[in-house]
Amino acid sequence: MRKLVKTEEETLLAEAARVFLDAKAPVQHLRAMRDAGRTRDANLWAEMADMGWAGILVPEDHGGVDMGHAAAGVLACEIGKTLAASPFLSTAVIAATALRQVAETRANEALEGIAQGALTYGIAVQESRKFDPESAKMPAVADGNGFRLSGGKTFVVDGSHSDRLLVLARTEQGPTLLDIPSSREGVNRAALAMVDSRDAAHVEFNDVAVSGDEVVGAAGQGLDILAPALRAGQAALAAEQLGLATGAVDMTVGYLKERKQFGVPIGGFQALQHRAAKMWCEIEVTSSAVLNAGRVLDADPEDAALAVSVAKARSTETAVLAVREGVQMHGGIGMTDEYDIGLYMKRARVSAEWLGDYGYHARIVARARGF
Amino acid sequence: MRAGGSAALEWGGDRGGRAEDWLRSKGNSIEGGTSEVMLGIISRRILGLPG
Repeated sequence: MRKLVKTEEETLLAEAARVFLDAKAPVQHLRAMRDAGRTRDANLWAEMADMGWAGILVPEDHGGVDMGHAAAGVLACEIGKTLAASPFLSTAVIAATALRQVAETRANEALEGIAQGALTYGIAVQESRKFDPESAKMPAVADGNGFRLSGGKTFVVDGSHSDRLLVLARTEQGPTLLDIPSSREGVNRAALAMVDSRDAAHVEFNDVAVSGDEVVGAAGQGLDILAPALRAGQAALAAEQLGLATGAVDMTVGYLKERKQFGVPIGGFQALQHRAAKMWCEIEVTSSAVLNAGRVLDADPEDAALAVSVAKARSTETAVLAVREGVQMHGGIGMTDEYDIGLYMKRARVSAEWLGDYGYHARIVARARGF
Repeated sequence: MRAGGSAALEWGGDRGGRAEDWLRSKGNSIEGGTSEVMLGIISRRILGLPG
């Protein structure tokens, strides 16, 4: 039986992350970046890399700390509590998990770059409004020893600043994963003005030349390599959503104690108490689902789809509940930009969509359970 | 029950068992302190809300 409470090591990791994030990336940090029109803080990522976060899933041989998916989830949860914006999920979790599966010199060098914080990745998979990697159609047509790439990818998270792109394309051999520099001729990136004030881009590929050695693994193996990486990303994003929900509920409970109406704190009203307690219960169950997903990914990655989709579906529901109730219980001021609860609400909405929404993951769970 | 559809509505049998569990669950939210009593305890003792 897996233990669904944090180990002592994980508790220490969470505490260290909390101290760092409260000092360097509290919610005001995201607000200040938004107000300045920025979606990237290179110094923050450099400091995260110094602490080993960028190499959390990179093998020690390539400069990482290789602490595993449960540990990555512990970090992502703390990141979510203050909405810290960084390329952690796309680069340190998804790209690193994809690249470490292939024993190629290029991939190993890229892993070293990731661990050092010198290389960031955008994951160019999605082609329409919903996440559905298996239906990706963008063609890569054979040309010499390589390919030529034409088409568009959207909702490429961290994609307007990333140094490189992992692109899922379709070759004659089938789905193929390509690792190319964002600066390659013919790659046009347009930053999207996202509701959560974070980096996402639409990327157009206009007859982009890709060499044969830029294929990750072999042509036709794209989904085999990408699927475990996307699952790792989904588990870590579920952890971030859990952190977000926890942050939103803490903020809301604090407000219930402070705000007076009819001469008493509104937190004394049973109608609000029960709703607050319900959120606490949801967070408890979701935190078990999130830890479970990390533990299964570490122990039995081939068989982690169910645990990961349970975590992502649950975290999405919990985060959306926490911010909806949070805004409502804050009342009128919850609608103002001055209060942080709105920033949580916006991030919850974006993280609900990224890497598969509730319906996408609920379908995987239902099929795995025989429905 | 919703996921099980019509198959969940049968008593016993190979596919059944859901109907019994469903009826049993009606007691779970009442016995040993109703859900409302529990939510009250959580809100005061864990969340520290007044009252």
